[in-house]
Amino acid sequence: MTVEMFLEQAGIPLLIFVVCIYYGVRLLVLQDVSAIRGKDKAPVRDEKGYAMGAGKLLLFFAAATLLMGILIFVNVYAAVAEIIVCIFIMGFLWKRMNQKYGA
Amino acid sequence: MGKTNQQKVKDFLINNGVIIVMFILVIYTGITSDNFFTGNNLMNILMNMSSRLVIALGIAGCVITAGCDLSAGRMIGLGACISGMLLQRMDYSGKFFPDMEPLNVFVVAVIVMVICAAFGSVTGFFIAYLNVPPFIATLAMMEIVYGIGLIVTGATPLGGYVKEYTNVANGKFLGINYLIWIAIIVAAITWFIFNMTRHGKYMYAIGGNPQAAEVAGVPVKKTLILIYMKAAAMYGLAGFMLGAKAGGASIQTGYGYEMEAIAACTIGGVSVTGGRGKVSSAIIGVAVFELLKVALQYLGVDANAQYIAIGIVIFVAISLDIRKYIAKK
Repeated sequence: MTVEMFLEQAGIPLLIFVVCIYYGVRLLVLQDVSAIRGKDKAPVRDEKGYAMGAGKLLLFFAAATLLMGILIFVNVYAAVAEIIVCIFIMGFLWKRMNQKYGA
Repeated sequence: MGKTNQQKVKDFLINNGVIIVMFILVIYTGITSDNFFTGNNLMNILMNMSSRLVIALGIAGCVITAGCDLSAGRMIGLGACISGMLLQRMDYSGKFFPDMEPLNVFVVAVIVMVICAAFGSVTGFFIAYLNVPPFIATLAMMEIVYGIGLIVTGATPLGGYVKEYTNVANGKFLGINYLIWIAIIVAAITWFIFNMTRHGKYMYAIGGNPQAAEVAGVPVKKTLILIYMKAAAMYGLAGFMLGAKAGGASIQTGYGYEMEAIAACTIGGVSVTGGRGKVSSAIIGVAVFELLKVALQYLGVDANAQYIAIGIVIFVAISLDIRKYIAKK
């Protein structure tokens, strides 16, 4: 398999992985909530808690994305099932996190 | 205190700087190139614009609510692939469903739009009910759609379409390609939705101030789901159009189109900060973007350097948009 073929198949999951890692680390380190919420949204109740929660969830999503990138080469069905399950888990965890720390 | 004429001119020049520079570039290209201002070239530009406009109009709705939709490109790819699978010739050796007769072209367009709209509604659900920021929700949906596209097509490019399908791109009515007509109809419907319906007013209200909109009784969650659903249906239609134009499709079709569409909306005047934007903004943005690309080709600019030029235009346009927002604030 050439690098080009690899990137063609796994390029998008890898790209999303990098984006999620960037925002996840940014949230955890800088605790800059506006990076994902925008500057005009209502302020959150607990900025630090929100940043930590969102950062961890983004790192979880990044890991799920990376796993999908690997699974694509093993079994595409498994890769899609994995990412769908992980996205729904992330969605519901996000709702809980938002209720706890959000606006 | 009112602004002086000099200030007004200065503001106009700064706020419309990108469009003015593009206009000058187009005039310059037209003067220096023999074939730029020709009917054929105009028709080509309009045809290229048609599918981009449909995408931009979809994304404009999301941007007006201060959101975005990064899954557009993948939805376009999926839409193009589904259209292709259902509209292959019976005698084509690589036919995806060997025993299935090709369906009616309009039925396929509707099927593709419905499938994509279903994905869009899931995105909307994540944004509205689970409070996931739009860029994360659409990034996630981008990945799901990409994976499903891989499963459905087996990462195989599609071709061998029936004539009725390729005629969607080649056929003409009143001397104008069907693709352009489709774009005109979609623009008219979108204009009606944005300006004449309650849904349109809700959309602007949510973009302006979601908390105030909710307090005022706007069904924010339902409206958000509808916006992302409607946008996804448009991406499906754009995929259908692109497939017809190219005569083939793969899961990579539409790669990066979401960025161009967001950029086109911003250039035209749809504000990334939400609450502002019109159908004409998307039309102007897409036209400016397409003209820029064609002008750069005519001027013999290296294909890779064109990306840099387009990037600079996006950068300047968004900076000016933010400047307008800060000035207003």
